[in-house]
Amino acid sequence: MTPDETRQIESHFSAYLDGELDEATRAAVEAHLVASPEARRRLEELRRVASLVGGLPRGEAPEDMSDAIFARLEREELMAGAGGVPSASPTPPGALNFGRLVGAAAVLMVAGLASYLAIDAVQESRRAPLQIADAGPDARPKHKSERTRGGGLREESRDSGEKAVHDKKAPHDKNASPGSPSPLERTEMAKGGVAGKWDKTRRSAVAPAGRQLADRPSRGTKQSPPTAKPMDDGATAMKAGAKSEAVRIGEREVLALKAKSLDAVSTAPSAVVVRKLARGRPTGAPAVVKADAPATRVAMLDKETVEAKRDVLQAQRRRSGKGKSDQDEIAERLRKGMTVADLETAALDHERIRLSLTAPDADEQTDMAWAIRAFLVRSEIQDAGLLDKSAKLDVGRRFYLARRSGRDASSVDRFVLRGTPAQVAGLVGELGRRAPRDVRVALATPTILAEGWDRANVAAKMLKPDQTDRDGQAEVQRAARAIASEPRLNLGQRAEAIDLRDSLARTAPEAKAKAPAPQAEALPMPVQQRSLGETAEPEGPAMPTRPKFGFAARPAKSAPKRAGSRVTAKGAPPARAPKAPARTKRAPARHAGLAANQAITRSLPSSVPTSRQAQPKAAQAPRRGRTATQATTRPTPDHEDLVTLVITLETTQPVRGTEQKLP
Amino acid sequence: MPAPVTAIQFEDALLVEQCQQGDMAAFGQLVAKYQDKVYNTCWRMIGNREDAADLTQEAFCKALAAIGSFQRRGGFYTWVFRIAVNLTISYRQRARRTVNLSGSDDDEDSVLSLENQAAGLMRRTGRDNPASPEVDAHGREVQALVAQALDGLEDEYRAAVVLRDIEGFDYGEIAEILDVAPGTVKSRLHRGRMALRERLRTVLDVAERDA
Repeated sequence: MTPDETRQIESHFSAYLDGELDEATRAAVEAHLVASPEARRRLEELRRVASLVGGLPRGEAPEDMSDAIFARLEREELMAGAGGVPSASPTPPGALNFGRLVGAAAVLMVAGLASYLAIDAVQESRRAPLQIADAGPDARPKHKSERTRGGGLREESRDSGEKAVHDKKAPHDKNASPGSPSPLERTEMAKGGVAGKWDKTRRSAVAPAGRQLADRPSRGTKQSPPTAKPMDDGATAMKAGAKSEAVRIGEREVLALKAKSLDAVSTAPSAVVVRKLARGRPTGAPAVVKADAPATRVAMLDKETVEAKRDVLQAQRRRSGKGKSDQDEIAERLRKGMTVADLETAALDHERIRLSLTAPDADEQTDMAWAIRAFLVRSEIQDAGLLDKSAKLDVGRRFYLARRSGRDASSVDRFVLRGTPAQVAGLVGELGRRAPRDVRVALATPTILAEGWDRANVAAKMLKPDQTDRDGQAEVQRAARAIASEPRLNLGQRAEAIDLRDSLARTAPEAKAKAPAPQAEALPMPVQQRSLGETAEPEGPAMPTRPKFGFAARPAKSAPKRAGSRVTAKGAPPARAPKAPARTKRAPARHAGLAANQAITRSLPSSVPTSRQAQPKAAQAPRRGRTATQATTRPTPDHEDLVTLVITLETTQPVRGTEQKLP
Repeated sequence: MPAPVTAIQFEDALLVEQCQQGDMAAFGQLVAKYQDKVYNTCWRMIGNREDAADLTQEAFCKALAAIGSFQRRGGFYTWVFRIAVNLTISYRQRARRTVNLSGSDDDEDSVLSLENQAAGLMRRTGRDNPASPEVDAHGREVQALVAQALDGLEDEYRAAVVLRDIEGFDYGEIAEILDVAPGTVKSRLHRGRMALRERLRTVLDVAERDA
């Protein structure tokens, strides 16, 4: 047999091993194997190679993969609606799509503006009759159809008591049909909608037979009265009665949502609403604003929330002693601060956060990277040693190396750290405050956008260790009561609220008698076993059914992550191993430039909290059903509650090796 | 004569049909069914867990976006794999255009995957694994070498090897996923294994000597 013939016949070895040869070829291969010991050895080697590759350990998808997929779908849908351009080609995960970031930032800005507009709307509604639907001609368009400023024709149609808002210009709806839900709607549905409940513990979705999207009421959207359509559960029923209102603020015309319950607001992803409204689809969206062409503004706060928020802001204004009017102060606060508060809220509400910052150039990126490092050094965040290698490498040196090598540099810094929610919130908030105008800050966690605004206020209050004045105390107490009465909080949040309440009660004994009993100790079953609409019956004094300072419930998806945190008869959960090894010592500064870090650290404003300052009283105390006495004896935070923060820092103008070839 | 429809394909077809009609729970079932396999393929294709997770997400997102145009000629299984493999190949091509001066991604993986470390400890202390620490260490070393060799293969060869030897697809399915002829699959797989054989020469020699 010639070498060519040998090579030819041995090219079938792999297929022979896999049983993919026809009879004739297989016979030829076997004949060759019989004749050649060398061929048998080569075949055996190939078999071993296949066996070695097949023996590689299999990776299982992360536990939150399905959630992440649906969150990503939601985000992409949102980006498409908020002006961002969804990527058509795959993007390396480390290199975030600028369009998406811009879109996310725009949505945050829109949400902040929406709050401002909602407050303004409610203030107007206080002067006007409360029932906005019957407000005067200036407050609500009379016509069933009118041309918006952007040129789109908006129609309001009434069908079976429902009001739908159409936008005939919506280009996205060309292919949409009433029976063909958008991916976003599907996402929402699969994430726990009525028609399809996502069973994370079983990693499967369970759909009631025959239920389709069309049957499902949209979350937080305007629903028909309960008598018109049977409600599926208590949570859905609570959404009934959401109203929209049209107000005119300056030259802008705004339709704002007023929901009866906070649940209707907090469980309605604002992203979803923004998206729906941007598309103007007849999905029964509760509110739509098609005022100015470039902007779509949505307000979706209920009256009580807005009032509570306004009270807080007014109290802050009084404390600050500024002479600005309420309106100016609120507007300024919302414009400047709510994005930060939203970021802080996110830090408190998610176990893993991805924060993306996009700087206009490498210099800004370098500054931000130094600021992050400085904060880490100053705040002594635990496990700061988990910093990614890219963060340890000096940014300037990296760019220098890139230029020197004449190749493009990967311009993405990635920080990975773990800290208490308060610490992470402090860092996130600080980044939001310090970010120059040109630095875009966006959270890549889309559900953040879906959370209620007033949680941000609660978070902000809880982050302030010097909250000693009466107004502040009252607000914190109110927040704590709201938290303690919220049946869907996880045990950590509940215990945190209880600790906070107890600490307040110690300082104000008279408040103790009025405070409700800790519900975590009275829970008859684990929190995660409760259904969405189920409410806990407190054993203590009766709680208001709807706290004024409502606290948006943590999504039910978080419950499985807390699996195992069952309340025992004494209210204490069984001991568990921590997720990550605890590092109590200060993280060593392993990278060069420590002196520069410390210099920057010293130059940081005093508002940057240290690890102790950043922790609210509740965070400093142990959680999960421990008593107040225990809390004073063991002031270390529960590692179970550590939050992972991944910060991706990049620039829109990566350093290119061809730009500046260094010697 | 068309190939007989298996029970899995039939079940998938039903779920896809429900999904096309707007039942997102059906898509959720498909995700739950195949997410591990798709993730594992992405991981073995690019060698980084976090990026693999992102690409898996993207694959399913793209699948959902195009579910309306999905033709039932092939299975959903191979279709979503096709999307995932194409994404990983594109990702690697894009990643090659920039140089990562910050260190290897494996470091990040090893730092981040505390759960894996814990799982490794559990395995080592578990009753179901009587292997000695030396044997275990050797096995992990061999696996690292194999993974490294696999990572060094050209994309088209690696895809064929991963799909066949790790995921167990037959040649027809691989051809469908990679959108090539079965004969091409055969040659790519053979060349890929031959290349691996050369890269793993040391391992094979040691194994032969031990045998």
